[in-house]
Amino acid sequence: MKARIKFSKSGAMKYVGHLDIMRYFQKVIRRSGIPIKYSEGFNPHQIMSFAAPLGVGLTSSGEYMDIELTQEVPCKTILEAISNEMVEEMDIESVKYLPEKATNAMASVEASTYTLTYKHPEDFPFSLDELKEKKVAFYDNATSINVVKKTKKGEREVDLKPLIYEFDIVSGENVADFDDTLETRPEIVFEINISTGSNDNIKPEFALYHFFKSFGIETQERASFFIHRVDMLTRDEDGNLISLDNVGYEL
Amino acid sequence: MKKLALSDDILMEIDKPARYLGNEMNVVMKDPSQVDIRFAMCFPDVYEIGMSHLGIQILYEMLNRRDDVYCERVYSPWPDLHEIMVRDNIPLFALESQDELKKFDFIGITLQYEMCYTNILQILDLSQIPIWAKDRRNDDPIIIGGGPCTYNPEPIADFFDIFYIGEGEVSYDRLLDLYKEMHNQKNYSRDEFLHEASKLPGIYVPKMYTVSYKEDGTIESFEPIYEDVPATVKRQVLMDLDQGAYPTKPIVPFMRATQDRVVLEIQRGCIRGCRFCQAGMVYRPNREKSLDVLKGYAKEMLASTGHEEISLSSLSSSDYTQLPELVNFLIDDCCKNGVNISLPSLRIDAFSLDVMSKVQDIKKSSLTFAPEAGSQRMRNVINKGLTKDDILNGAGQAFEGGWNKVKLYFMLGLPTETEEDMMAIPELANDIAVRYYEIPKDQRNGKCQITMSTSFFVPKPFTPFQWAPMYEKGEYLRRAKIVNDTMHAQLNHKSLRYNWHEADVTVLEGLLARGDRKVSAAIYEAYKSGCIFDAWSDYFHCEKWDEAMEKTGISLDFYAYRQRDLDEILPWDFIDIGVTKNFMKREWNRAVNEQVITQNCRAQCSGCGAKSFGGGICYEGKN
Repeated sequence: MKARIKFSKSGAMKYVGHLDIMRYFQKVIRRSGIPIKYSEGFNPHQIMSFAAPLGVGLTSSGEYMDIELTQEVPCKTILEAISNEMVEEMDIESVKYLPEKATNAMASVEASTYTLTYKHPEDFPFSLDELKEKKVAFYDNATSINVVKKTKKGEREVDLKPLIYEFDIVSGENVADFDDTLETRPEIVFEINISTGSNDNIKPEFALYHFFKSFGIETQERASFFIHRVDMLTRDEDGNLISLDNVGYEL
Repeated sequence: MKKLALSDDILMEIDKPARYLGNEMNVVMKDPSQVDIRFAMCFPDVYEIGMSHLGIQILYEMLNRRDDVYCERVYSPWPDLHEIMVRDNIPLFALESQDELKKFDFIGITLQYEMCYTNILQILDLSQIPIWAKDRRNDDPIIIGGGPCTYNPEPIADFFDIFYIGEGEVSYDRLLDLYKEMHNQKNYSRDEFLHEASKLPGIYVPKMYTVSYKEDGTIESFEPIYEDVPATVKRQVLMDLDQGAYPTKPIVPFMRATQDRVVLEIQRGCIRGCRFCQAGMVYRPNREKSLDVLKGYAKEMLASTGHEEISLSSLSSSDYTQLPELVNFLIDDCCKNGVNISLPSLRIDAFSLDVMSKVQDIKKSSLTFAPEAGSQRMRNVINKGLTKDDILNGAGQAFEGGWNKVKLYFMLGLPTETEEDMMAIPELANDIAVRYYEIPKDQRNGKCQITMSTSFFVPKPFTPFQWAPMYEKGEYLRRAKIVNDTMHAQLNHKSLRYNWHEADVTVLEGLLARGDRKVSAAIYEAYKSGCIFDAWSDYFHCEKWDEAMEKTGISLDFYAYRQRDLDEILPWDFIDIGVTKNFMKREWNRAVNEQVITQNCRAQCSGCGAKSFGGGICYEGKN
C-alpha cells in the first residue's frame, strides 16, 4: 500500500539540495523502522518517489513524498516514527494513505502556490498600490503574456497568461507563510499559483521577472526574491485544483 | 530560524552551501554559555573529506561526553568561499553554533597528510588568529595538533602551541582539567599554561624546546628550555580499545561524504612491519577490539545513522583474529533491507573470496592486491611477505570464481631499486593475465583487465627507511616510463593498464615529511603566495612552492635527496613512539644489506620495543 508524506523545509535546510534531501529521507526512513518496501535485485532500494523537486535556496511548507509499505501501520504511528528522526527545520506535516489507483506525486503535480518576498527591499521602492496597478495591466487585463523561455533544447515562446492561475500582491501583514530569512516581516508579498510539472513548468521567479520587466525593472530572479512554496496541487475528477494532501485519507 | 554565519547572498553564490550549515542528524547541540571550555575540532580539508574521518568523530564523541566541554567542528572553506571571506572580512566559524572560532578556547587540528599544511594556515588566517604561535596573546585560542603528521611536527611547530602525540583517549582529560583549573583560579596566562601542559604525558609544546644546528644544516642539539620540561615526549597509547569512547551515533552529513557508511574500527596497529610504512610502526603494538563490542556497535550504528553500508577499518583486516566470526555476523544479522558490507583490502584467499562472492556483484567488482614491489628481491627489502605464488594462486582462484578485474598497487623509487625491479612490475601483471587465459575460453568471462598503479616512495619518519634519499622528479618519471615501455612490449599488453602518480607533489611531500623547524618559513611563504588545497591537483601550484623554497633558502637537496647518516640527530628524535631507533637501524640494515624478511609480530617477536606499553599482541597467548 502507498502512503503520502507531506513535509516542510525551512531555515538553513533550504540550502540542502533535492538529491541530498532524497538521500536524507532514505536514511530517516531506515532509522524510523517503518515497514517500507524494497525493490528486488542485487542492490535493493526503498520504493519512494518525490513530487516536483524544490530548488536550492527555496523554503516550503508543502513538499511531498510517496512511499510503499509492506504492511498497514496507522498514519499517526508513521508520523511519530518519522518525526522522531528528523533534523531541525524539516518537519513532517501529515501522513495519509493513497487510494490504490492514485497516480504518484511526481506525475500528478499540476500547479504550485508560492509566496515571494524581496531579498533586498531597499532595491524596490514601489508602494503596494503602485504594484497592484501594474499587476492589473500585466496580468488581469492581459489576454496573453508572450515571453521567451529558455529550455535545454533552446528557446521557445510561451504564453504565461493561461499558466499563471492566480497572481496577487498583498501586504505582508496578511500573510503567514513565507521565507523568514529576513528577521523583519515583509511589507509586500507576491502570491502566485502557477503551472508546475513535466508539461508546463514555470518558475515563479520567472513570472515575477516578466512582471517587473513590464514596467522596465530588471530583477535577478532567484537572487532578488525569497521564494517559499506554500503547497503543491493536482486536479480532481472535475478538473479543480486541490492540494496533493487531499488525495489521501487517514487511517 | 537557526543562526547562520554566512548571509543568504553568500550561501546562494557559493558551490555546495550544505558544507557550511551544521544541523546534520546526530549533531551535538549544547548551550555554549553552560560550558567551561569551547573546543573546535578541525580537519583542514573540505567538508566531504573531513566528515569521512573516523578519528575526529571519536574525539567529538569523547570530548562532548564531558558536560563542561562543547566540541564543535570546522573544515576548510573551499576556495570560492575563501575568497569571499577574505573580501568581506568574515571570520571563520564552527558549524554547530556558527560562532567565530577566535572566541574558542581550543582549536584542535588533525594532521592526516603533509599536503594539508597550507590549509592549516588558511584556517588560522580566516579565523583572524595570529598564524605564528609566538604572536598569540592570552585570549587567543590554544592551537593543538594531533594525528599521524605529529610524528614529525617540526615543519609546522612554529604555528602550533601544542601537539598531542599519540591516541587522544589517554591524556585529553588532564590537559582540559589543567586549563579549566588555571582559568578558575583567575591566574591563567598562556605561557604558564603551556609550560605546565608540557609536563603532561604525550604533550609537546614546541616553544619549550630550543634547537641548534651544525654548519652543514643538521641538528646539533634539541633541548628543553626549562629543567622541569621532559627531554622526550612519550606517545600515548590506549591499551584496552574496548574501554575507549566510540561514536555510536555518528553525524550523518546531508552531502555525500567520501565515507558515506558506518565505519567499524576493529583494531589498531599492524603486525606486519612493512619497512616503508609509518602507520605500521607508530601504532604498535597491535590491539584488537573484542568481537562482542563490535557486534554491538554495528547494530547500534546502523540503527542510529540509517546508513546502507558498513565497512571495517584497520590497517590489515585479514589479521584480525576473529574476522570470520565478525563478517559472518554482519552478513547474517546486519545485511537486511539492502544494507551492504564493504570489505576493505583483505588478503585474497579462499575465505575472502567466499565472503566477497556473498556481498559483491562479481561482475562489477575487482580484486585488489598491494604487492608494493614487482620483484621478490624488492619485496624482501621492504618486508612485504606476499610472494608471487600467493598472488597467482589468489588471482587464479578468483578468476575461476568469475572475477576478471584485478588492481595492483606498487611503489617506485624504493631504496636499492634496480631496472630489473621496475620491469618486474609489468611482468607480474602479465603473469596474472597469463593465469587468466589458462582458463578455457568457454569458462571465462571475456577479457581480463589488470590495472597497475604506482606511487613514488616517500620516506617517512619513524620507519626503517627514514634515512633513505629520494630522487628528483625526472628520475621518478624515467622509472615510470620503464614500467610503461616494458608493459607495452608484453604479449598481454592489451589486458594491462598502467597509471602513475604525479612526481612534483611527491618530492614536496618528502620535504615536508622529514623537514625541521626551518621549513615553516617556506610553508608560510607558499601560503602567502596563494597556495591552499595542495592535496588537490587542480589547486597545486608547484612553481609557487619552488619560489617559496628559493626565497626562504629551503633546499630539496638537503631535505629530500640527501642520504641521512644513521647517527644524525633527526628532527623527530625527541619523540618516543615505543619502537626504538636501534630497531629501525637493525631493520634498515636487514633491508638494504641483508635483504631479508623480518617475521610478523604474531609469528615471532622482533624486539621492536613496543612491548614496553605492556599489552596488545606482545603479550598475546603468553598469559
